[in-house]
Amino acid sequence: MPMVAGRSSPDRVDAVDVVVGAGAPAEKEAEFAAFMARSAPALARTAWLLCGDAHQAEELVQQALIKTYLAWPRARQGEPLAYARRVLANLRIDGWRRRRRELLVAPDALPDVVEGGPSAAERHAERDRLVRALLTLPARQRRIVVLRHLEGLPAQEVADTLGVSLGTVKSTASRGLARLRGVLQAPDTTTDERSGS
Amino acid sequence: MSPDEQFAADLRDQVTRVAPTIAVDVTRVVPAARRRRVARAGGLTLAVALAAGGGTWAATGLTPRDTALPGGAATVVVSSPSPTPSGPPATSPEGDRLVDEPGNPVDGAVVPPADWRDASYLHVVVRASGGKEGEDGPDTPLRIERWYGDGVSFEHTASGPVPANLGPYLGMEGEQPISLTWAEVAALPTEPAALHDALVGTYESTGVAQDAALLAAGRLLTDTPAPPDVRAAAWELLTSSPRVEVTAGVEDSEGREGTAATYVLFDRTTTLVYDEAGNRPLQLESAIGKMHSVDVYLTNELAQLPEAVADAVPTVPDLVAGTVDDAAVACAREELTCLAVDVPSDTVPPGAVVATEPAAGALVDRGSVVTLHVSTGP
Repeated sequence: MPMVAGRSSPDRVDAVDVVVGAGAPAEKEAEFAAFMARSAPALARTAWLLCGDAHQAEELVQQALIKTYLAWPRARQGEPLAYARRVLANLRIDGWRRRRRELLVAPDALPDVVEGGPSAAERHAERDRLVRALLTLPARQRRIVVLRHLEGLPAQEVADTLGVSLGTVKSTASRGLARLRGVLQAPDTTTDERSGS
Repeated sequence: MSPDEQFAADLRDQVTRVAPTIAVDVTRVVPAARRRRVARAGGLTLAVALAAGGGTWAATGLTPRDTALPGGAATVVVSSPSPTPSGPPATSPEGDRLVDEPGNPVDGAVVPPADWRDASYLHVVVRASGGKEGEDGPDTPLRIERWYGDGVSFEHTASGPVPANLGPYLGMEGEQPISLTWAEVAALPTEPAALHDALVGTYESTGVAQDAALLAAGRLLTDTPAPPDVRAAAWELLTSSPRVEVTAGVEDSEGREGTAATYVLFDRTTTLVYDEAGNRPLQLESAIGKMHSVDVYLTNELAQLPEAVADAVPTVPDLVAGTVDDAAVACAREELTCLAVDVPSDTVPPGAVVATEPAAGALVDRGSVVTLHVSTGP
């Protein structure tokens, strides 16, 4: 179909005409849409581990996807998820500054668990403890621990993702894990041992 | 398996068990990327790039979701948003940065109430700054300006006002959601105990109810069009909580005197400085771990929407019965993109617009797509 558009437009209007067939670009578009649908949950989990906040995580994933879209011709050459993860892990977490509508998610709003399993409140507390423990790690160390141990990526891939050496990944991951363990296994203030003996 | 490996494996199990399911809204990704690309390319560069063919890819970025493109029968008309020759400056008069993207974008189009231009709005101007301990210096503060309205709200961006998704007031998720309309906020009790019951009366008296009461009282004071006496009750409710530490006679970062309420809610420590005599918030400080932010309320008052703001909100023009040519020009004027789709019509002459999606009068985000249904005749 021939193109029509406003060449004789008023000077403020800067109209540009393009004809788009239903061919290759639409396929690329669909390809990116499919990629977003496929990768968003995994990226969101990584983002949540990095920042400990669901809303901020969503924002980080959106930013990472925007950048991935802009670099799509390059990103799709390799493994696009790895590309998006690299962008995500290297984003400066400053989006949080833009305060968003705050939503209260009450513990009882969490999905029900099977009978006999931990209650929603217990899981909420466990989640909270994990997030707090992760937040005690310096950002650089946290990125490495999250990708290497919590996402279980090979050390070389973590090194490639963050642009650091393999040696750095190994030593930092190990130190970070030890620290995390220290924080998570720190005795509670209410241990049974004290009252028992 | 080494103890380290075992610990890491246990951690992974724990993450699988407790990680929240985060639904990422990806519908804004492609439009936002496109806007960024347009901003980067500038008008002329964009035109050249598009003409060179690389633009077909960029242009398909304009295709809205849920728009079925009949094979071969679609034409995309790209009208590039004017490269801000007469547009607003990228900073406020005080030199604060303006946001590039709306923080709370609307999903699609908003059909505003008939009297939206003449209605009252809660006008909030915030100077936000903050950062992370040990990382970089402080950036230039960010200026956030919002108009909270009844049925439609707006947010300012560097390229002008856009409709914003700021309601419902006190939106809270959960099994006992709190969701109030403008009218319901205005009708809230003006006595603290009654206000408490109105907000969280249905909650079991657990920590959750306490959390909800703190969150709701805080948001009533800063983000809702609550009348002064409702605000006074919310402030009293907040400051009477055993979890809130109150310090009188403090100054905010602008040197204005107020009373501070400090409390910990979930993972963040919040300090609200409030002007009790004027019943208005002065400053909101929050800290999560090493991250810290300060929002200074430069304005927080009920006001009329200035005509210039109303005029600058992108509005879908009435394009029905016109030609695609006219539509392209009208859309470009509103900084909208139009996409033409052929439809057969017995009543409208070939080449004329039968209908638009969204319909005329709808308020939309800058750069949004308007689909034109163009008659091909019977």
